[in-house]
Amino acid sequence: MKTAGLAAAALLAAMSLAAQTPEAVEATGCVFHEGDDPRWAQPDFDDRDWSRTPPDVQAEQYTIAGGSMAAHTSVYLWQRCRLNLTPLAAAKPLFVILRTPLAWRLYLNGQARGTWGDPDTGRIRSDVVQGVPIPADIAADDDLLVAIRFTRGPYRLSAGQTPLAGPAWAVELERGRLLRDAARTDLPNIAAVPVFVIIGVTLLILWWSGREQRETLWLGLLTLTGAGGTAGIATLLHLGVPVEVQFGIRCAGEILITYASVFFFFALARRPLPRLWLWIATFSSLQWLVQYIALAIPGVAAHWFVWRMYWEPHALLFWMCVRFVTYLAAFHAFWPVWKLRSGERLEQIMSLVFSVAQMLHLVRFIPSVSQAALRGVSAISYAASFAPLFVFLYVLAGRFRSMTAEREDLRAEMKSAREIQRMLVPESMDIASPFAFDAAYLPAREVGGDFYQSLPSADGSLLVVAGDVSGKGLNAAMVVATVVGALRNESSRSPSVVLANLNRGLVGRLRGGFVTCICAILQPDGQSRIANAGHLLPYLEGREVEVDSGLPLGITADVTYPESEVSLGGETLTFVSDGVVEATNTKGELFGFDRALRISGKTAAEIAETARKWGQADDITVVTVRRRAAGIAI
Amino acid sequence: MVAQTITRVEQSGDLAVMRFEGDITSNSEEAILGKYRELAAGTARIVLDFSKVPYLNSSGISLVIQLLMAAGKASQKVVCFGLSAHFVKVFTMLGLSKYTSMHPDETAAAAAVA
Repeated sequence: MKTAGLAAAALLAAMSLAAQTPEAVEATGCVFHEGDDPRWAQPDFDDRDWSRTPPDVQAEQYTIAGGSMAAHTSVYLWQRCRLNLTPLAAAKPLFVILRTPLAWRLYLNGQARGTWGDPDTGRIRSDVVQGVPIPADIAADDDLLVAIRFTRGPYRLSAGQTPLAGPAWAVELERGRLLRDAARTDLPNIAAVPVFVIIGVTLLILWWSGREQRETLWLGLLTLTGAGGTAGIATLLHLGVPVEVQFGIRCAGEILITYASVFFFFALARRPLPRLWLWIATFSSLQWLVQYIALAIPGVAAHWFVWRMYWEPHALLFWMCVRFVTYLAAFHAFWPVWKLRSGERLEQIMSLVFSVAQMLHLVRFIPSVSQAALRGVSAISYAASFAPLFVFLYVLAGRFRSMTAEREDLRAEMKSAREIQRMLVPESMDIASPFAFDAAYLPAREVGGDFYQSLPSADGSLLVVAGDVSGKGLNAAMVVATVVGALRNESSRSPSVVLANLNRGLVGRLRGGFVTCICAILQPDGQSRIANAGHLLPYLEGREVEVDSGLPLGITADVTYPESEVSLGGETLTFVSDGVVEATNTKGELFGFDRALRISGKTAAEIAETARKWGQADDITVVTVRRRAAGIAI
Repeated sequence: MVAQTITRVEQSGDLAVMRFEGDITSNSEEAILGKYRELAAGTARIVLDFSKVPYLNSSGISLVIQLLMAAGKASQKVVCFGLSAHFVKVFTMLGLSKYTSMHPDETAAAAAVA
């Protein structure tokens, strides 16, 4: 009971002490000076001619006329302040509390007491609050000279907040404030991230599904990069990610945004991208690349180079102009801008709004513009950057709907074409025919360029034709329809004449293509004649049938097709297309003639399936014909 | 992924050697016919080097045929070498042996065109 009473009394005393003691005291009489000199740490140094205002603030607020950038002539910046510790006399131990984005070395009454980051290169991991313990003997002095030697990194200019002094809990309190400030600054951006990520990912998926609307791809990348840029980096900053990584991500993002913007505008306008804009985007990206490389090189000299290149007022204006000139691509893409194009008005107007909004950032370089006006312009620029995004989404959604409808139409047309092509394939042979005919046809696409026909005659003979149109798809299928139509109207039963007639009809109509074709007339007694126009030789019971070949059809008119004689017993005559021998496996190995010969005795379906399993690269057609013994089906 | 066709032309008097590299497909028109059209006037003998051509599809063969036809009309002699056994057979079946002779190596091709 006694112990509890004592504890309560101690707690009350502590609370009373805390109530009387301020959480922290702020340094006073702070003065600043560019350059570096170890004597500046000493308490007795005469700093009366030092500046009472921080020489640098965020570069965003700079104007050329202000000329304050010119004052940045040193990598190092010194700050000297006085700390009166009397109000904190009851609190021990005490700390000097620094909140700054720069690397520093701290001196208390001339003694080095702590460092943060690398005092030589200025590298730090993140903006954090640091507390440097004040030794008890110094605290007794009450009036303390605090000298801080800041080493500027290449991208952090602000000296930060005025130093404070306070007990340990004041350090934690200040850290809490930092987090609250960060949350206040970053939360709106962070809250927007999921929305932009969802939009960006959706756009990329839409592009991936069809890979046709490149504007969808570029807008998706722009949205994702923008989301990463606005919130991601800010988040990284407070997670203690090294400045090199932060800036590397920022550089990559800026470069991606530069290229994606240029590509996006021209894709949206459905115009080819002029090479000029690629060069401009590359030049604009160069500044980020140079900065990043310089940052990666250790040492102040490299940082100094970046400084001079980028932060000198006129250099800054130059690079900013280079950066923003990329947005002129929107004007060029929709040139002439004063002529609104029917059907593209919305995207044209919004592209220009977006472009102008980006270029409004340059207003801050106009000397006479007030801070209030700048804030207004910034708000307009912000709104004008985001509003077009949603219009672009609306436009792209419309285009995606049209494209999907067109694709459906095309699919239906291809389906019809395939059905028509199926009608061109011969129906099964009459059981009374002296020949057993079999075929397998596996087109590589919806419709194919291979064809075959079996045309029986009243005398029991059978004209068998197999061929292949060079190329694939609908073009090849249309040639197939022409050839099959010509064959069905062909009155001759002489293979050489049939091929010559087909050739004459095709010369000059295939736009550089050709048709390989083999034609055989099989007589009921087994005597057969074969003529060949560049097609693969047929197989007869495991051997290749030697047939003289003429040029493929459709190349030149003056070609003759010699006939070769073959006598059929009960053997199977097999015709294959090049889709069999040129089937290619995953190792890039062709099925080849030797394998085709080895399986030539199998059924048409088996041969075609074997080639397909090897790796179909082209239409596969296999036709087999066997003479039935004495007209009886075998 | 189909490799792009690269054509290097070595011209020496009335002899031109066209060295192809990569698959020959429908995308090879400039590499085959374009380069053929750029041959010096007065070219009478042409050697086609297929030793670095792993694959020709039907559209690519069509381009070679067009080259052979154009050379035939211009009374130019064309020989080729470096074709794999598979494509020697394909060229033979296409009846191209009447328009060009096929040789196993450059020495034999050079001798044939000398």
